[in-house]
Amino acid sequence: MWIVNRNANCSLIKTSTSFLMNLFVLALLIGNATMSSAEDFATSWPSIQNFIDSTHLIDIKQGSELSGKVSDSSAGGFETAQGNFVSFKQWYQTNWTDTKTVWMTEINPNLGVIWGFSTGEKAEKYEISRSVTIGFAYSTQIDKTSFLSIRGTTILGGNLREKSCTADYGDIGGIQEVNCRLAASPLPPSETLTHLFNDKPLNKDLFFIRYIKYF
Amino acid sequence: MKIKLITIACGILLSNIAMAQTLQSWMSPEVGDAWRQNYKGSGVTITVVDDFRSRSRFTGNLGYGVANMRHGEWTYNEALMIAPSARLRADDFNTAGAVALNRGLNVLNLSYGMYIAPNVAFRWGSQEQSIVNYATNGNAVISKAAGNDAVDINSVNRNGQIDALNYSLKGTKSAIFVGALSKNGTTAAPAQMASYSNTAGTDTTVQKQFLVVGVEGNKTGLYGTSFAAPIVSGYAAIIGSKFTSANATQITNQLLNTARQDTIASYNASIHGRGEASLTRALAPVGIR
Repeated sequence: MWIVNRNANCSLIKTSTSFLMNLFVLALLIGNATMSSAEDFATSWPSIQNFIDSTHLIDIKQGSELSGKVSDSSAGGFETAQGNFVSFKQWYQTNWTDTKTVWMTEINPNLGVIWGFSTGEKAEKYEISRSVTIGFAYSTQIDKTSFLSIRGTTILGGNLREKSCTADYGDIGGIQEVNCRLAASPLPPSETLTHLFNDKPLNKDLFFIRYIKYF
Repeated sequence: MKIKLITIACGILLSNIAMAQTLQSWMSPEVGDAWRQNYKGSGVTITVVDDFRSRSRFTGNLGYGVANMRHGEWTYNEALMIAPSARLRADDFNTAGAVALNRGLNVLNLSYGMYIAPNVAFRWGSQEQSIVNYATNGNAVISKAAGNDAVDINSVNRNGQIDALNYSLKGTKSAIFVGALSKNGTTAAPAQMASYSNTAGTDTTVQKQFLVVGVEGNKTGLYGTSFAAPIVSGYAAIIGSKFTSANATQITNQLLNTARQDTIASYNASIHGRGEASLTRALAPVGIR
């Protein structure tokens, strides 16, 4: 369930229907913001077919900077005080890599709504949460030789969170909560916790303005 | 009469700390592993009790160029290079006063011996008495060079003498005797005991206090258990900077209990004691989930 803020009259619409329907409603609402009256809105309600025809896949990608970060950092392992090898794989290997798709639905020749989602990924000691991408693309011809395009997107969710481990250091350190990856490092156990992954997606908020002039 | 002998067969203290921050080829690869998190002994004091005043100098190269320094200057620099973030203090072994301890964990490096004929009554001066007291009470980690007579650590050497300091430190809470391997051992290429190094012997009390580390004199020009003890001193400092509430006895036991035998060729407790000191294992948990 999620909430869309309707620009035209600031009312809130809540829906618990499917994810695609949510995005569909979002596209309509943004499109509606450009219309002048309720009659226009009623007569322009597009069919599902129109929606599909005006929607284009603009990005699909498996793997992200965050999943790459976990993958890189989780290679290897360490030996315990008694010499038993502890592999990081058991904690950080995932069966599914975060996959993201982004679409654009054309509202009119100048305006498009960007939307998408990612699946997230997780293993025993971390999780990259699912995310939703929303945004817009607007372009216009200012005069015969000048073009302006604006694009903005934001990602909701998609955060990387790493869980801690419980390590037993025996007589010298007792049982302590630690960062699994740094349990055998020279860092004091409590300080390893500050190095737990806790990251937002790269390029969480993007805004581009492009001006082109032909001479 | 006791005579202090530096335990090498065979100045300048590092003024530029940056020179000490480089992993050298004579160091165990485990030191590099430990350094990656930039914790290299901070908050720990290593006091090197050694010769810092005599005219006797030796030539060697710890990786920053050939130098001619006093024995204490070499051992001081070596300990500093293993644990660059530790506080290092030089305490000349000809001074009469007790060795002072700083706040926090203290490590004393003793790369010398004091030789007397066996069965001769002796009384320690205040300096050595303070060291023995610290070891007995567990006030400081004592890293003591095993000696270079190629005999069991508490046996008489070819001159018919024993190292009285070894004798007095036997069975104490926080003293470690450090022997020398000819190189840093690995499971793929296990190391042999250095030909000159004293060994643990059949006394199980000594065996439990005895460690070995690689002394790669072919790279430094510096041979002897004098250059084994500072490595253990540096390890103790690095471990102490991780387990900040651990006392000297716990640090000592951690080094002894995590020593490994699979990096030593034909490991034998009467020769190698507990085995080769392993910094990475000493820093690691017993278990994790």
